[in-house]
Amino acid sequence: MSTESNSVKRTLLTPFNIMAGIVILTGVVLTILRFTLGLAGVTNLSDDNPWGIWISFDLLCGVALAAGGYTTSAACYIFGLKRYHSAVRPAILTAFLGYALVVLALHYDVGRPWRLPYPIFVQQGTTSVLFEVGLCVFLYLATLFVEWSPACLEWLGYKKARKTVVRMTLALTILGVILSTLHQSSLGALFLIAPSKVHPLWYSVYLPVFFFVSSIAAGLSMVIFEGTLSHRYMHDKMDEKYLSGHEGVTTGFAKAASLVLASYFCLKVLGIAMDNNWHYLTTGYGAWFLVELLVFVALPCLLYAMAVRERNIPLIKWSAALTVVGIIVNRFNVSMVAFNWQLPAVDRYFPSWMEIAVSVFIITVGILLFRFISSRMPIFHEHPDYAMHEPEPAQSPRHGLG
Amino acid sequence: MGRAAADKPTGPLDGLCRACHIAPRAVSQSQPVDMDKVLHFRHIDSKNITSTAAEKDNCAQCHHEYDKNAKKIFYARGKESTCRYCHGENRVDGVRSMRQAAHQQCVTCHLDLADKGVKDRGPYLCAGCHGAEGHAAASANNRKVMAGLPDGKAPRLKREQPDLTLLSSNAGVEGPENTRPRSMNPVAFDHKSHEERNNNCRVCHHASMDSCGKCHTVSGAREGNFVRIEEAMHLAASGRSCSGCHAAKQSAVNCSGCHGRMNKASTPDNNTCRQCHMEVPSDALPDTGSLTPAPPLSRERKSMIAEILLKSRGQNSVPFAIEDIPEKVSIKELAAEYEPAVMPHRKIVLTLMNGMKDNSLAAYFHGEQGTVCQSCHHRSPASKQPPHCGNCHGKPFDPRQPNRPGLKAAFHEQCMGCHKALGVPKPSATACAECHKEKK
Amino acid sequence: MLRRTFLGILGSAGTGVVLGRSAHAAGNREFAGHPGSFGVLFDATRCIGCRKCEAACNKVNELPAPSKTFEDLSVLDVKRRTNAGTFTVVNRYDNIPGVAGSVFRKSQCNHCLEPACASACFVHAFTKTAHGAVTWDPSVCVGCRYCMVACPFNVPAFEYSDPLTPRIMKCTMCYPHIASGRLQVPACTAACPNESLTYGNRNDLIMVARERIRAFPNRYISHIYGEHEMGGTSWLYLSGVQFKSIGMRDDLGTVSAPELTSGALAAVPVVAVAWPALLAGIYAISKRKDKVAHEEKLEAMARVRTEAKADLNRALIQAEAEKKTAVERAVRKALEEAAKSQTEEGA
Repeated sequence: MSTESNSVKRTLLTPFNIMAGIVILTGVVLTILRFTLGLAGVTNLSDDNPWGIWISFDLLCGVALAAGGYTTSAACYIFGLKRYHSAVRPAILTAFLGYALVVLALHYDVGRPWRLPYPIFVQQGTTSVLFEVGLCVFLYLATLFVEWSPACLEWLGYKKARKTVVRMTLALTILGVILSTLHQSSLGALFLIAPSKVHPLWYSVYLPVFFFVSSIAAGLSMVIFEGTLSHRYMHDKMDEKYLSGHEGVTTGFAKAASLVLASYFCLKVLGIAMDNNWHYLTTGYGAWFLVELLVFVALPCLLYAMAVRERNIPLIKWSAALTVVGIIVNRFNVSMVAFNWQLPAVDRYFPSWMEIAVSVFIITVGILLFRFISSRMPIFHEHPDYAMHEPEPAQSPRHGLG
Repeated sequence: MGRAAADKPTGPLDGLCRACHIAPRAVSQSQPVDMDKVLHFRHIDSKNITSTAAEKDNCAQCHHEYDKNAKKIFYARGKESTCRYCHGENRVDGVRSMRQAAHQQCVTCHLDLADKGVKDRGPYLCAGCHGAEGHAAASANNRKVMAGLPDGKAPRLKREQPDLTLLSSNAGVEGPENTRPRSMNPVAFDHKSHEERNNNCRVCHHASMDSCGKCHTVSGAREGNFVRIEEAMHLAASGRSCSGCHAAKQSAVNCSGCHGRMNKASTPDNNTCRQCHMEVPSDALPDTGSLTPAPPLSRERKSMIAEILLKSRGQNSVPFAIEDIPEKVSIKELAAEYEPAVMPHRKIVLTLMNGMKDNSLAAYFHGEQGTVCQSCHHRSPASKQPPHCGNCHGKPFDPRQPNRPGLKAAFHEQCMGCHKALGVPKPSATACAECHKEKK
Repeated sequence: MLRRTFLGILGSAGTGVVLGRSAHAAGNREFAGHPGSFGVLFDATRCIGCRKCEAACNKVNELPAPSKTFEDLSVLDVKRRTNAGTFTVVNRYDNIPGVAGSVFRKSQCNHCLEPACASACFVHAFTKTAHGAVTWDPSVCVGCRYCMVACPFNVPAFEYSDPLTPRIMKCTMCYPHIASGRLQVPACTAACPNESLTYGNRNDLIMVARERIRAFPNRYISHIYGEHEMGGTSWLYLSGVQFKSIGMRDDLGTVSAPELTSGALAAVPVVAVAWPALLAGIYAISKRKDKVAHEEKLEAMARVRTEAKADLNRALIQAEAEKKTAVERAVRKALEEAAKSQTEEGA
């Protein structure tokens, strides 16, 4: 802990930092533009295309890819798979940062960002799916903050506060799963109200189920994928326990992801059969739908299964990357490609470079924050003071509920 | 062949080429033959179709009846009718289909003539009758023949049909005289002018040459497909009924300005019935002094009564004396944004009258004074000084009269609707200032 | 607040507060609009495309002046939609099969009986008034634009150029002006020279529309657009041509927007109530599995320990016994040998 200042000085002018600096600078300029010229100044949004990449990527993908938090903590604390314990903290941190950045991105997207708390504190539109999303994201962000706080409290040395929070682990985990189930599915349910705008291949009454199930696959894959990246760049911060558990976590999650993807594949086919939309498969949209379904769902499902069978860790990592890309493809398809499919090409939406730059800016902020926190707080390693008495959630019977 | 021999299910066998090789369904270009009255006249008039010794004309060459007992066809003078009455779409009870009959009758004769080397012989190849070029040639020849005729019209068919007659609904009503239902006044019918206006008899006489009432009885009968005489004459949807055919004529451009904007769903009032079902003047009645219950009237008396009735109808003429028709009408009511609109009222009336000048159907129905005026001055008795539009049309969207347009819309709808229907290009509906100048 | 909001979610599954009706997907209750509410009937056979309605709307709502004047009909050469500065537009449709000349159609907010925008709004900024108009409240709108996503008619527009206080812009059926007494009827309907727009009680308008179809069967197609589309709209349309050919979606169906999401919303309380039990159950099972495994382990250890002890004891006893017999045998042997030597000596 005493080498902090040294390490900062050492790494100040790395290529990564220079790139990040440029992105941050651009982001700051675009932020100024956004709040002086309005959305018209930086986005390609129009009256026909009210939602762009800030919703498609920052919100829909952001939330889906932050699903690692609830999947990992559920696996560890609810399903009792304690060997995944070392993966919980990085996943929770990623989820917390992910959700925080989603909220940050929304400040760019909505017209009057300071009113973002209005749906919760001023006037509740209870008939709206978006209200459900907003409420759940708000509550879940708070939950994640509390779930993440032990790492921070350990770093700060507040032992008593840490102890209180650790006792609440099970309750927080259950709350997190409930809230995640609700808002992950509700992001899909957002589009239920527009059957006339979303292409029939992507529109289904099962949209909420698709989004929920695919978010589990996204969460699992994201933990694997992100573990790979962390391994490469944060290796020095990892302790023996994390490193020894890493392979087991990867294999276990890969097995689960394969099963979830298989179930997701079946659900998607069921969605087509339910509305008898087979004939659309022969169209151009159908071809793209098949690419999504076969290349980004069926293929990673098979690759995961093969890799687990052969204990092929690199293949698992590639499958995870493919799944993550597939989830992004799916969220883009539902919210952009299939949305407004009946409009003539000139009226369709394509993001401006500035919108993309803002999204990149927000991701960069996320990575920097992750690096800052994980290099200081006990994320990839256990804090020496607490290594012996690791939280045993079973010992807080008042949260047992049953 | 093993399976086929063993009587087991097989795929297509020899000779079932078409089980696999399915030829595309051919779309027929064939057009129906239209034996209109001019073409018919050309056959009557032809020197190549000879008359038999017993007859002075050549009708017997084609027209025939069938003697069931003798099992042969024979010619019956005065009974000539359309082939289709007997020869239907398909062969029934040994009676050949129209297709078979026509091909045998027409093609055989045309071929015989061709064999004899006759030049004016008629077509015998398919396209000659059913092809577009054959149709074109036939119409060209028709026109040529018509041009050579004294009044440019094909002469009437000689089947002893009346020129004028009375249509009445008494036929087929059974029962003691005093209990018979009273029928409508008979309708004077100009059979001759209807012949002139239609191509063939089948337009009205769709199933037989008998009078309508024979099948269409007052209460409907099986032979009339249970269509009552009232329906047969009035059904708007039928092209064969009097009302249906006349309504179709109203869609002509000259008529649609007024008629296109008339309510098709409203029930006609009593006066409408009287336009055709006229009161027979007492001096024309038979000795019984009444037409009901109907005594069998002679052909001559029917014709005489019909003539009297038809003559009583007015003629197409300007409805009022020219000086009584205001020349210009200034519409001041809505002059808020615009100057008053000055409407060339007399010019419009005269234009409308001019549009129906040579139309005897229009003459029959528009004869009464003020009828034409009532297209615009509607819903009030015809009068030289009709009430002001503002009497009925006030502010728009009156919840008590949701169906009634306000005054502004009433004017605009009236003018623009008529102009649009008549195809009057100017002024354009959106050229506001051409009717009423903008207020400065 | 939290508790109240949660109750709100629970309530939303049962009753659509905004819409004054049940939002049950499977419910057989029907909301046919507020009784006596107003609407407008647009008759495409009467519209001449003069844009008087556009001009009147622009004036009464104090919208920015357009680049081309309202008298300039060349604007109609391109298809337009409503936008932040235009609440209503008239479009011209040419070359419709079987129609000589052009057909015009006015578009604006249709004021749905159960509006998608109101159902979608997460701050309840939209209200379907008893008057019939769907109004928007600028004091709560966050600017999320979900209403624009939800609207099947692509009506609401957004002030994209306003950096901080952008508004959702759409036709109000002149509700504020009528409520304040400034207008009797919506400005566009008053401006229409031809009553292509008829303002009145929606039920009356349906009767008027039916009457027109009945009276002029050749002029109209027999369909009142908006009577049932998307659960019904306050703005109704008559046309002489297929609605599709004048740019109106004929595939919207008759299901109202709230019904489309009611199923998903109804699942919220189910998840909120069932998940804790389910998850706690799973936790309890996995916990018990661990406990049982632990106990079995302890038991096995105890058993092994006792068995080992018994074995030891047995071995000790046996050793003792063997030792004893060995001693005895040795003693006996010694005695025997002693006796023998005594005997030999004795002999």
